[in-house]
Amino acid sequence: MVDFNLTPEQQELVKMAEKFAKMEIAPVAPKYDHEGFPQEILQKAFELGLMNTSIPSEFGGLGLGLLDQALIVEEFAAACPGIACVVFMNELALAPIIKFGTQEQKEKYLPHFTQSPKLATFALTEHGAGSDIGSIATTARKEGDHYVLNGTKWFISNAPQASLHVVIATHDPSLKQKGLSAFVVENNFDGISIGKGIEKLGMRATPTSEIILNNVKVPVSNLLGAEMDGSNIALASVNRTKVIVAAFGLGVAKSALQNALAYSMQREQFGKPIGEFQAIQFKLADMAKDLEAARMLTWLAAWRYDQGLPSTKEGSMAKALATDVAMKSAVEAVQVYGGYGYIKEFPVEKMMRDAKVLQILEGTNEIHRLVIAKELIKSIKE
Amino acid sequence: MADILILGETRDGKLVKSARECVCRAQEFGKAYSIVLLGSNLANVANEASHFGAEKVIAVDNPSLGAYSCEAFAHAAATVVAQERPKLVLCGATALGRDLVPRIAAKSKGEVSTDCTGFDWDASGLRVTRPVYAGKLYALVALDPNVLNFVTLRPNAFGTAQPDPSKASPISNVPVDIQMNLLRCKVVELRREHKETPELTEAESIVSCGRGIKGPEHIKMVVDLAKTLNAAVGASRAVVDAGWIAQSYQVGQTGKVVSPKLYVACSISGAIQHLAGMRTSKVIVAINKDPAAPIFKVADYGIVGDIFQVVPLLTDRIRKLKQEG
Amino acid sequence: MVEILVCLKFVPDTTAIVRPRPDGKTIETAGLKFSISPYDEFALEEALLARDALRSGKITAITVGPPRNEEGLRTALAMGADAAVFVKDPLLEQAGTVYEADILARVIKNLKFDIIMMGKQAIDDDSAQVPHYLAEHLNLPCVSMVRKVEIAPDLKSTKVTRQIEGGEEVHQSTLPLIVAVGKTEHMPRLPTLPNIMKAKTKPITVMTLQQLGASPPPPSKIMSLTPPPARKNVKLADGDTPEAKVDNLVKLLREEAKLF
Repeated sequence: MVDFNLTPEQQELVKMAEKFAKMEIAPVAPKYDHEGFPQEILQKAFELGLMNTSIPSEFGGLGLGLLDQALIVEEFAAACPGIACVVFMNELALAPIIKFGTQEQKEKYLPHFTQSPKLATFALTEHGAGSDIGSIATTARKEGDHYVLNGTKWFISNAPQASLHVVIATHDPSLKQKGLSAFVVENNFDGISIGKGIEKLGMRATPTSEIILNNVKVPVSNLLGAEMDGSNIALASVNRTKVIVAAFGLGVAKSALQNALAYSMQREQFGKPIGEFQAIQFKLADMAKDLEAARMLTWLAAWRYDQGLPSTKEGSMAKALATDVAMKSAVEAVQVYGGYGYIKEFPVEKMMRDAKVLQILEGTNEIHRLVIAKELIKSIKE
Repeated sequence: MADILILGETRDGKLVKSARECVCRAQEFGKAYSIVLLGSNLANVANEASHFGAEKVIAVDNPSLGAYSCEAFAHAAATVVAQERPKLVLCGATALGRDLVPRIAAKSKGEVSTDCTGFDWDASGLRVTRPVYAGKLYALVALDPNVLNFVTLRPNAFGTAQPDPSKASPISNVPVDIQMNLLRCKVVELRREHKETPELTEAESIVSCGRGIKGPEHIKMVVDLAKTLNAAVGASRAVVDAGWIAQSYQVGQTGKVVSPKLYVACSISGAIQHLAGMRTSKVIVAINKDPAAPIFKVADYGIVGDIFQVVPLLTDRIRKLKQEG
Repeated sequence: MVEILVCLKFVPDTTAIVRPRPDGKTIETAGLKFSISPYDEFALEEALLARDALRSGKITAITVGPPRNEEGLRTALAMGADAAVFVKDPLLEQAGTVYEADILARVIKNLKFDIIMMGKQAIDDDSAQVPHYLAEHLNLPCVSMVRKVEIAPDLKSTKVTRQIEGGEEVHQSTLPLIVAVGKTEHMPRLPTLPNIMKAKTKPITVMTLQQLGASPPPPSKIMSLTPPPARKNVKLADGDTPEAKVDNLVKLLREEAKLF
């Protein structure tokens, strides 16, 4: 039988994350949207145990499930998705090590992240390889006891602040997706340089840049899994973290609704609060119902993943729906605010800028629709 | 024996204002009341208290009561209560009142109604109105006439009694045995705080200025008014953007959100960005040259006038009022 | 090892919109967000800090109330309390302060403790009496409106700083003592994630009114609950001269708004 109640621990988790988001993140969100890196938020979140929650307890982490993480992420993203991304990016970056690393690799690298608030990146995307990871051009050439990596990764979140990178590179570009491998690359290896920060429309608190690999020597022991496993490793990691991105969408959608609702009852035109006019009420109702539906789908996907059930389809559904809802709600929130929605002194224009990239990263929503269709068709094919 | 016993709190050798508010209310009921004083060297304040129309003034004058101690004061007061057997004990809901009255009531097996903003005693009985849920609601409570009721009145919620030098109540000195060596908790130090202006988000009162102050040199005028009200100083975004005051003083959408008891808006137009930061203030007073300024739509009280005339006059008037005490 | 009891009340959150029920005597609780009463939270934080300062200690959170109070105890355990005691009964929803103090006394007289901490008032009834009535039942000293507590390492005495008009009083007291805490310098800590997980394993002792030999709470004396009057249109202080206007304004603020 279905029980929609959160456990007592999950309720405490949500309470704590919400308080932290309201007290610590929301007040500084406008500042970090403009400039700077939220170091003190990272430090405080770390001290509360909110970073690296998927690292298993034997390496000093909490080994939280995906649903638990989605609950925390929604609260953080409601306050600022850019800052939330800084704190939670490690969940994607370290997923390959947690899922596919050997005991030695896990023992070597994971404690590093539970002892202090260090950051890692998931270095997959390139200028010529977004949805098409088969076109990855960063090469890995085996030379004795190490691999030599050459190439440029692009649009990598947290790169300017990271101490570790999980890099997907190809042994043979002609093999497309089948030629990829995943490597753990320390930021202090010779030949790595971080490009200058990329200026983005939204999620501006997250520092983003290129990673340039120039004859970087990576020990053989830093290969994750076997050679040519790279595509599987990348996709399996994203298969988990796309639900986290859905939770980002929930947070933005929630914040858009709360702000639009409050504003609509304060702003008076034609002698009454605009929230009493049907046109506005329909917008609010749609925001609310779409958020609730997206949340239930996200929880379903997270629950299935935690139970060990197949969740590829549900995860893509949640990601596509929640992030589309976030964008739509943010745009409608700006509309509800009218002229005030367009100026930086009010919080909703930022939501619109932040929400857009959620429909693009970690698999564009178009790609996720293909994933869903593929699962549907698979289910009827003999 | 009088129906009402008033706990006459004193400070610096005088009755405090809230004690005189209790007297005023008792007078309005038309019932007999006595005033009890606890402390040492009470001769002067007992004399002051005797001019407030009480049936009698009871002075528990004991060197052991020189400094406050809940145990000693509660013991002394409970002794007087047992002797006098009033129907009702009144005190202000001051720091002392809040600490002492519940203890006296517990000793006397009575019941307390704290921080009352309304208080009536007529043929249908004793009723109090008091704020609950942090002031979001007001409760009207019917007190049980069969118990000894203790009521503490919210300071400044009632009228203040004035002394009548032509009347003099008898003063009786009542000895109470206080065994100091048995007291477990004593005051060892008294610290007066320096009058710094309170922090904006915690201040009970705020005086805020808008672009109409015309320049940083006029902020002092606003600060002076704030000082008389023991208020924090705030500013609209325009003042901050003009560089006349630091951003930490900004009240509004992108500044601080405040909810004080009193918010005085000097030459602030009332744009929605500013209102977002202060609209839940309990009392809003607006001073503005423009009678159509939006601030008057949310204000409770206001003056249409030039702040350069009104604000110094207001400062002066309030300062004089406070000196009269 | 210091033993601290912290009494908590679980009340509608400060941000909650409270509305009277149609009968006007109680509030509508359906859908309301509840949390630990803020001053009780400050008290719990003081207890946690005292334990940190003394390097060891046991903190027991106690609450008397309807079943929903369990959530408040879980939060207290997640913040760092070691154990909890819960006197649970739906009838306690309407219990008044005198009754509550009596129940607490029945529980506490069987417990070992050096100091009892709680908020100076709960933000539902705002009556600020339980600490003193409890102190009288247990024959203990009590200090209220406290902003700082310093327990001596030998656990024989404590220094307590109390807020008064225009300053502070510093009290020296023997232990045990009851301390009613107002706003202190220390913001209550957020529970860490590991502590939220650990809270599952900490014991909550549940008791009934019958076990304590207590009769049910007497009915409430509240006749009605009303919201504060809505903001009326602005009252402009009139007058022919600025002096006259100012005089009228001050009169209004004094007599009507009762501000000074």
